[in-house]
Amino acid sequence: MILALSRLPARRLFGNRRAFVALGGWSLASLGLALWSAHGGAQTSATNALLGVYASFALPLVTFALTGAIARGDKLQAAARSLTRVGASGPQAVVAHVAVAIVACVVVGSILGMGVAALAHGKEDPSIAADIVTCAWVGALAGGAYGGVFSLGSCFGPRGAGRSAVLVANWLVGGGILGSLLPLAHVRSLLGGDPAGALSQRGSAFALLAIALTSALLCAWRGRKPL
Amino acid sequence: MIRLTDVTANEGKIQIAAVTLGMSAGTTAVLGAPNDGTSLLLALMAGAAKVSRGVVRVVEDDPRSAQTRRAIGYVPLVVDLPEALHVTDALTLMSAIRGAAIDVKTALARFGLDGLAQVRVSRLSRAQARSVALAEAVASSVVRVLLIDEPFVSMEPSAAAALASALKSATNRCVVIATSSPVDARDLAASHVVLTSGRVTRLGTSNDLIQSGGVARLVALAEDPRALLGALASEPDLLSIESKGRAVVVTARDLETAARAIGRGVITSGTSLDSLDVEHQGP
Repeated sequence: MILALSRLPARRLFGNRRAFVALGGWSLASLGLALWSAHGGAQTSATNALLGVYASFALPLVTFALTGAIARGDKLQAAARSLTRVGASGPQAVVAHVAVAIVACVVVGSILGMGVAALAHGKEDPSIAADIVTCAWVGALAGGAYGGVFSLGSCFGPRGAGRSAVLVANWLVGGGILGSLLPLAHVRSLLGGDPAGALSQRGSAFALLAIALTSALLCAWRGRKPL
Repeated sequence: MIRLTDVTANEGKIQIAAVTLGMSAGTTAVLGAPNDGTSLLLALMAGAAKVSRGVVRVVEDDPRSAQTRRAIGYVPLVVDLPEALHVTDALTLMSAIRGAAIDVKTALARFGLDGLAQVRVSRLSRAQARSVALAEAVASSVVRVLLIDEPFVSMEPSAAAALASALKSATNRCVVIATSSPVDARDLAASHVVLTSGRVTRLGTSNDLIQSGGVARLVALAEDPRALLGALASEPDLLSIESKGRAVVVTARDLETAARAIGRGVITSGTSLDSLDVEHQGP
């Protein structure tokens, strides 16, 4: 049933021009900056581009736009109302939306990460193939975590304003215990930045996975009472 | 099929107060202005609004449960359909959720909506969306309770025309319509409930609705009917206001209420009346 219900959020995503404008804009910006960084002659230009633009801005903002399009800029429970009104279970309808968000963000995060790594490759960066493979799985994990955590934010506040609160908190809290609850610190750690709190890179990878899964479960819990 | 026991609820300034009702198979009209709580009462039955006290049971269960909602066809003034899908896909998905497939083509054709099959739901007008929601609910074999708010307001003409016969054939269903028009209530429903300021003030069959003095209709021929209509729109005691050319037809619970409202409307709008007559209806 979740697969059948996911047709609605999937069509919502593909029919939303604003999400594609955000996706195209931030992709171009991060790829352009990656190229500029590579031609600037920095020794570790891929690392700079990945940490500076991709991890900090492009990925959060693109996934924010994608989850917003799936929730049609509203509370997630309200976005699922046309399904629950005719008898779909609230948790199932909400999970269908979260699943589409996570899959879309995984794909976009992974492809965008690979593109930035390929274009911004510098002399002292790891081998380009290794960089692309790393960015593919880190981007996928990070995209999944953002898809989950932004969807969870969409379950709270008027018109899903919690999603914006998550975006701002993600930038403000940095590392530490609070930071380890949100994706940014882990993504930066996995791309060669400072560790997220006391976690190793492997710990950060598991943390991103845990953020995505926990967020999906909490969304299902929030969806048990349809609006 | 529907039972409300001592139900109290409010939504903004609109209230339902200590309403106890039972409805079984057949068509019942809830008569009153939206401010009297008719729309809220339907929303409570559909599980789309919360009760603050009392119990609502639809097909012997809580209308907010997923299983019960599958048996409810709810057509409010603004319907919530899967807006990103085409009409055919939306109806197919909705029927899959309800658990019984429908023949979408036949369902739409019955209400003259064939032309909308490949239109994206978000591109439908409010009237088209309401008509599509109605077509889905009527076609579904799972739907046992049909709740329609103002059946002839914001409805495609072809759907409105087919509605009466569709309701007459739905003899094994519990159909509840909320309307401010006593004529619609009499034409569509076998029994009625009059709601006044959120309280049930009258229960009965619809045959005696017009004749028993329960409502009065006045026809005002005004120099500027649009101005009069605008002024009457804010009159809380009127059951309905209709425009027929230069005539403005006003329905209230008694002649005095209708006449006083028109008097205030004339003063407020600054228009003048050419005539004022009582409209005679029924056998």
